[in-house]
Amino acid sequence: MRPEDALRAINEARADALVVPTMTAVPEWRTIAPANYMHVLFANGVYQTSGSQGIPASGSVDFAGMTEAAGYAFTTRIDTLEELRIRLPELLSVRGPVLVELAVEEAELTPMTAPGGDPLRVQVERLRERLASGG
Amino acid sequence: MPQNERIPAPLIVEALKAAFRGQRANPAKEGEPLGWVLSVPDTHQRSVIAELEGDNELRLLTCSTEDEANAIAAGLYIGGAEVALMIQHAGLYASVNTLRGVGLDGGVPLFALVGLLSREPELEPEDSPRSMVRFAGPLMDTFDVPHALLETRDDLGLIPEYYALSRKRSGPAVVFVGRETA
Repeated sequence: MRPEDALRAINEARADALVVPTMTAVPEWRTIAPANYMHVLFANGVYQTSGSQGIPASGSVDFAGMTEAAGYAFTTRIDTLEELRIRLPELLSVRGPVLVELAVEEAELTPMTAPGGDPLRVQVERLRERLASGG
Repeated sequence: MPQNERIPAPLIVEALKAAFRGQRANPAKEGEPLGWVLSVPDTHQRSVIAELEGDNELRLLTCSTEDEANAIAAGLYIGGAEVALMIQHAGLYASVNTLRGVGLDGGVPLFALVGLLSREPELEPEDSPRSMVRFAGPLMDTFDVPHALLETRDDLGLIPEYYALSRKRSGPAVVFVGRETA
């Protein structure tokens, strides 16, 4: 599936969070164990912006299995957009932390080819204000 | 206080609480911590970590790396929580790119207690033969991060002062812990 389509499907399902932390963060999420935390990992297997070199052990790393072993409440892998659309409502109701590994193609646009957006400082304050107001 | 007396851990915990209370707009709600302490365990501050483990008002979270601690601190700040980091100088060096990206570019007030492990008490940090100790302050100067040195209980006011400074500047601020805590 294309990552843009996956993002659109997730937004339509009103996901709260879209986070791709490093593997070192996995034990921390297990410790905090937020029930409403869904961790969506876009797995295209490459370092796309630097020329699509394969990540170490590309294609043979089982991220869902790794996070399951680390103690996530539920993990799964989804390979097609259709499967994502069907399963997403149920996944959003599962008690977290949840990991969803999405097998995606390379994106058409990246921050390198389509830079823009507000500076990080502006995004931080906007999100902070929105959360403080209950939005 | 004798110059060689180590600061008791409970006093540092109380100083952290004072720092958090000084910034909170409202008291903590039922079940909500007064603030969070994110730790990548520092040998220098091990007595403080032990004290925090038994504290009912603060929530201690042990992090895998200082990079993760910075990112989690940013998330907690965005969510409206009070948060401090407790790390070691080696971790400060290791996470300086995150400190720059999240703290400086993101405008996130990252406050950290940073242990100067192996610092010689009779020497100023900048005179230490140990590079890890000697360059920690200049490293923060390079990034225009305000920093101070905690050595005796008379310096405890630096904790709420620099915590408030991080909020005021919307950026990092560091208090180096110059001696092992008691």
